[in-house]
Amino acid sequence: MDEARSDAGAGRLVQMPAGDAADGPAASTPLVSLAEVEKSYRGGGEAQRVLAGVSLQLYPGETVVILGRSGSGKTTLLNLIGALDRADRGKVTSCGLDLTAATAKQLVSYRAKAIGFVFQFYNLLPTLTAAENIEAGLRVAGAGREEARSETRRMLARVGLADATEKFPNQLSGGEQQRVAIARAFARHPRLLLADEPTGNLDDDTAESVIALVRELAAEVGTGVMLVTHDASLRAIATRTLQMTHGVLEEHER
Amino acid sequence: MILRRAGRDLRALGPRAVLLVLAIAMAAGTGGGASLTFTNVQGALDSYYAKYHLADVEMSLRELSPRSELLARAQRAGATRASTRLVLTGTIRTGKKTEKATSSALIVGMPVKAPLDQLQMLEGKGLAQLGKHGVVIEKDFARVHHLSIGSHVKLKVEGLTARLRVEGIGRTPDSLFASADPQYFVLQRGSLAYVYVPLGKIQHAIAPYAGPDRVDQLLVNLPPGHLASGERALTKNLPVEQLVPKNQQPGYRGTRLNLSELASFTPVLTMVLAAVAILLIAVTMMRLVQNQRRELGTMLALGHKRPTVVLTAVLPGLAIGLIGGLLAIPACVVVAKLMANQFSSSYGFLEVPAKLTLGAAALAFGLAMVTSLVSVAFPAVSLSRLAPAEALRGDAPSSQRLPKWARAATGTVGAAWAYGLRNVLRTPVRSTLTVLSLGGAIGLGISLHIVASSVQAANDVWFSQQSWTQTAVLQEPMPEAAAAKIGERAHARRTEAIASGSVQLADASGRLGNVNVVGLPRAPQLQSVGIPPSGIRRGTTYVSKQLATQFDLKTGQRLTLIGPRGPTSVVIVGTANTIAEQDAYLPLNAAQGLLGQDGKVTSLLVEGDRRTAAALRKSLDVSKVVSKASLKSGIGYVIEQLTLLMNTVVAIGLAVGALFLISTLAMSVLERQGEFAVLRALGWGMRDLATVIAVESLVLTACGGIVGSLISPAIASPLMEKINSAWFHVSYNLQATNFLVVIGPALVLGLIVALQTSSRIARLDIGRAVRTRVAG
Repeated sequence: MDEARSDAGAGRLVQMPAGDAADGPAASTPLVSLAEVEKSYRGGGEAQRVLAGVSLQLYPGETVVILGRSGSGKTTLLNLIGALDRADRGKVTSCGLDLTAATAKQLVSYRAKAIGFVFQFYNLLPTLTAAENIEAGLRVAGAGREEARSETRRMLARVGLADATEKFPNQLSGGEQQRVAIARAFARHPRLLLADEPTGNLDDDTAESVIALVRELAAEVGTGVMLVTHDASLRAIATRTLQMTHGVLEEHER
Repeated sequence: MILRRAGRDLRALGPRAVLLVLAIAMAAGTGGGASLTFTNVQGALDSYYAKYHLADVEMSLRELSPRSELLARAQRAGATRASTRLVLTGTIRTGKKTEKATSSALIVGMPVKAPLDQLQMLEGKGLAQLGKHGVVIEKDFARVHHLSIGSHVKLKVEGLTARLRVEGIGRTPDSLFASADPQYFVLQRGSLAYVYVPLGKIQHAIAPYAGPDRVDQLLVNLPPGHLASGERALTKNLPVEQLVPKNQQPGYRGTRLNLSELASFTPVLTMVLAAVAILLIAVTMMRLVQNQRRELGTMLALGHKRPTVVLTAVLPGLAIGLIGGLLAIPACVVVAKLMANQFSSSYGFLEVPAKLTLGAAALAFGLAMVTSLVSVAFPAVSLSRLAPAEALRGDAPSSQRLPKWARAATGTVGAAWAYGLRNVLRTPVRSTLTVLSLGGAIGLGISLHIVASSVQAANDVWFSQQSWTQTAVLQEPMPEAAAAKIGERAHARRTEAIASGSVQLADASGRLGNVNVVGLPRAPQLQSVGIPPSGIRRGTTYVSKQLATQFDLKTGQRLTLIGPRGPTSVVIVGTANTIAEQDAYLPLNAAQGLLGQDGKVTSLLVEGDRRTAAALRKSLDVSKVVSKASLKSGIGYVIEQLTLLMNTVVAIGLAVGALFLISTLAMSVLERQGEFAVLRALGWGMRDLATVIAVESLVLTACGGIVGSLISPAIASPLMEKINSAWFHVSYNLQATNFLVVIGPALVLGLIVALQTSSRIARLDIGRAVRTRVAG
């Protein structure tokens, strides 16, 4: 199957060529599918188009890295897939759920059980300890108290922070906070991990260890990963790299 | 540049700034409004009395006298103004022959253009326009008995009955105090009717047997400093029944008494509301400054001087305080008007205009500004003293380690509950101040209800000690045996005759005023006023608490009672436990002698039933029947009206507390947008988030309820002391309803506030908010 190329102004279809198992397992059903998705925001009285007819498919086990400058629309794309926002046009399907048509209740359940988030600024809850930040995510996903505690301890140990259980976010370094955030995301065994500039606030060495952790855990849990960043070096972990430019998504030129 | 920056910071605050301004205005305005209430009510009263010329002295005679002679006497006494009236006592029936429809009446024949105690017409025709059977009825009596223009009433005077038509409704300054029979110090609304007719008409009616142009009341104004000499000149060689100076006039005194109660309580009210205001402003302003911690740290890191940093931190808060303070001034007027309206309607008062005084405005504005200044300056100076790195690190205190017991306790509930509870516990200073503020408002409300229920309980106890069921006031004094027969005919189980009447009271310093002497049988069975079973010894007296307070009388003090036959000396041996206003209790025969009614009685206390009451009412010898039940319900009505006034205050207090809660929670949501967005991103539904907010709100409110419950007896204390000294002994009577009636609505308000706040979270743009750096 030939790759469909991007064309500015036209529909964008970027998909994994069949049989190309370079960086991950192929699957017949996409984990994430976007079809001609458009999104605009109103600013200063004018509508600014952020996504211009984006189409995309991500398969289970894939790690997709989307590169792009600030303001290119990559975070907006992530927000649509994470059901933090709704598309103006087009269809977004993720983990078997049509997000554009889903009810509020379905979206809540989707966010609780199907996906995990890692943010640039970690976004740990400051009034909860490291362990409690992870437990908060597990409990809402339906885990019992003991189960949540046990899984929390395991995840913290897995990310190398067994001693940080009772520490508050402001008592942890940036890298440690991000590892807690990663533990929080993976503790629920999500089908899809969405990472928004996960290394944006970290030094190179810490960034490298964080990315390695993401890769390991994704492989362990069998999670698909969609990671947006401006850091081209993160291509190394991707099974596929895409480029977002002015709301247009295209295959990244290697 | 600092000012420009302050302006931008203010705009950036957006709705938070508006909420803060409103909260400050309301809190400070309520504190100022409470004190303004008293000033406005006092001012309205003073204006009214001045406008309608309440007489300095009101002299009532035992016999009719020629009008011209009395006016000449007034002139000789140096009066600056004088007026005469002819006042007849009787009864009035406003409906079917029931106890409620029958009241005492004073038929006041007065000049059409009276120079003193002028008639203020409120509806209908004035005296000059009345028809043949037309009368003017006092306003509050008309209201209580549902009389309007065109209503008919039956007036019974000295055995004659007349059917009359209400053609006007008005009032005179001496009738201001809610148409209450001054025999009882606690109002019996509608128990006394003032019926105004032109003097000439009533003189014409009695002329055939009394002679022409006769009057029995002289009203005068005397020059300042000439009251005593003027009174002596007026009363010399005259058969004076009563001489009532203005400050002892029942309506005037009654209004002053109520004002003094308001005055004694207003400082408490003002202090509590001011404390709530201070806490509210302090917490919100401190938060405002602490939220700028990173910015201030950045400024320090960039090399800005500390005064500049402090000023940057302080200016937005001061601006909010200034706007809030300015708005507090009209808020003060609104609150004062609300409270004054409730007070005046409780007592059948005049309408009180809302007038702002410099003092109240200064109090409201000052409260807002001083508190804002202290609240912003303190944290701003503290923050400016931090090392820049520390400031840049963000707000440390919220990350306090939670004690193990708290973790264990909160860990037993669901995630949303645990998060909400921990949010409260993890900000101890803020939560404590919020709880104290709510506690103040709630405590104020509970204290008022404690006062009301305590007075009600004391009232119930007193009535339960009385065995009489009806009091029958006789048409005229009659021999005791004849009076007893009235009771027998009415099938009373027991009767007890008493003799009572008005005499003058004096002590070693001179004339004090008027007093109602009551002669009791040796061992009263039906009436319990705290007199020992052995009875009252001759030459001694028990005085009512009111009388003792009014004239500062003490046990052991010698008094002179001056009746028609001259003076009688008595010694006070105790205070009677009675609801009567100005009673002095004597042995029956001593009172009869003093009143010139040897062997005669004026009233009967009766123990009977409804049949007894109906029979007594039908008796031609009985002018008025008052049942214990109606007396008790009358007092209950007063307590009910007081409770309404208190509830107005409670509502204001709770509104301030609610506004505070709204402001605190709204600011909390706005500050924690990122947190809530993250929680939604993690899959928390709206119900979970609403639960978090509800838990925070309800825990704070419930703790406020506990604090309020604990401090409420202390807040009630000044008013309880006042009641104890001025009325009768009242003990604290704490009932569960005192607390529930305030805490319940507070919790409901807390829940409503929480739901309203939760709706803000629903409107969050999660995608944008989640990019907000989570506070801390």
